[in-house]
Amino acid sequence: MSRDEILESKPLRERIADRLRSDIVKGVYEDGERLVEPKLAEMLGISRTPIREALRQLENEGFVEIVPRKGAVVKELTLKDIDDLYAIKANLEGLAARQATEHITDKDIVKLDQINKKFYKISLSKRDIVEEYLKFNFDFHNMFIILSKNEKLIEILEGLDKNFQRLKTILVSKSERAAEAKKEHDKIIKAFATKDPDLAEKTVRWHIENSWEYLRSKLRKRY
Amino acid sequence: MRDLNIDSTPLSERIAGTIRDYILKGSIKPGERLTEPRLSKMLGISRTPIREALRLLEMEGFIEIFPRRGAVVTAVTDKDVDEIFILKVKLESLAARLATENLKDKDIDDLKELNRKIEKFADAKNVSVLINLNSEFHNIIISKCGNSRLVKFLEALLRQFKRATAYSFTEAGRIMRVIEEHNEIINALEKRDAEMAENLMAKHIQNGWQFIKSRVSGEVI
Repeated sequence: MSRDEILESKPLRERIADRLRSDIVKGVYEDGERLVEPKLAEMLGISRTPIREALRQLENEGFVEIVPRKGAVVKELTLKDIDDLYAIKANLEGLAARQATEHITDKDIVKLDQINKKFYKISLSKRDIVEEYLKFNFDFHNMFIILSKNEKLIEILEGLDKNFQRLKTILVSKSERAAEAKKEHDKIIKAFATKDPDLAEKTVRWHIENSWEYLRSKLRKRY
Repeated sequence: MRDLNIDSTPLSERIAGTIRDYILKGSIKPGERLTEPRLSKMLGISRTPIREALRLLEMEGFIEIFPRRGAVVTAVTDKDVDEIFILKVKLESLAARLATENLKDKDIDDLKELNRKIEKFADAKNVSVLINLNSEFHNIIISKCGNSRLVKFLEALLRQFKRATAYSFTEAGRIMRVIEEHNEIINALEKRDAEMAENLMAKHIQNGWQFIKSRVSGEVI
């Protein structure tokens, strides 16, 4: 199935949410800016009900806040928010790794290794390749998340990841972290090879806490 | 311009609450179809807020919406209970860990008082009172974790989870264990021992999970 077909089958609410989310990520709307239903309805040429539903969904994802007498406003992403998100992410991705040890095959482990090598190769390139870099990193993490076979968990982690999209621009100076991240990924692969659930959980948590430490030091300069 | 979304929020939310209660009580059964006209007639409300309420329930996992068929109440299987419980084990123990930094002495007193009340009602076999007291107990700890997203996730999980929790309070054996485990948790929180609070909460929820599994194994809740 092509990407377009997948998008076509998405409910209207989700397609509107996707559009608004990507606009927020791109900075089309500023923090605290109002997302006015009638205006959006006119702009997108659709009725207000699916827009209201989309705003509700974005509220659940943490992108907007519904404020009494003001409606939906773009929620600012503070250092505390990111701290909060990472605490949950570290815990839940650790859990995903634990559950994945029950399902992961030797073939999957080879594939993880291949992804990690591509990830590293990209990071060595001189070009500005944030998108590809993030894609391989995403593929690596996503692989064991899916292998957890816990649908609820997969869904929650997907929702969390959408929030991290807003941090993309800060991640541009990737190469300094990439070498470390690659080594940490290697340790994760080793942990999966032992099929030890405690070790897999611990290693993934440690890796995410490290990336958070790195990101936090970058963010401190901005916030 | 008037913001209609604010005005209509409580109504769709209230309708969702009513339908959710019907599902939890079993008045509306898994597999049953919920059509907008039927609900509109049943509740005496127009269809737009009902449609929104159904979307909310869909997000919470209570129903599934199919094109041209309307909404169908989902069945909670063993696998669902497993998935929800393991998330609860991780997230609520994280909340307990974080709460040790924020809980005031007054909150600890409230927790003790609630646990005494649970003990008082344990013999009365009043399941709904016990369920409420128990959620109040857990909510105090969750609300003090200081991580608003974590609170939101747990709220959503607990709503789905209510379908399963009822079982813990239908047999005296588990109630006495619940009270004991609560006391151990209070003890750890009072000492502000983050590690211990996290571990005890994880164990408490895991024990509840084992109990429910032994009761409902193979069945659909």
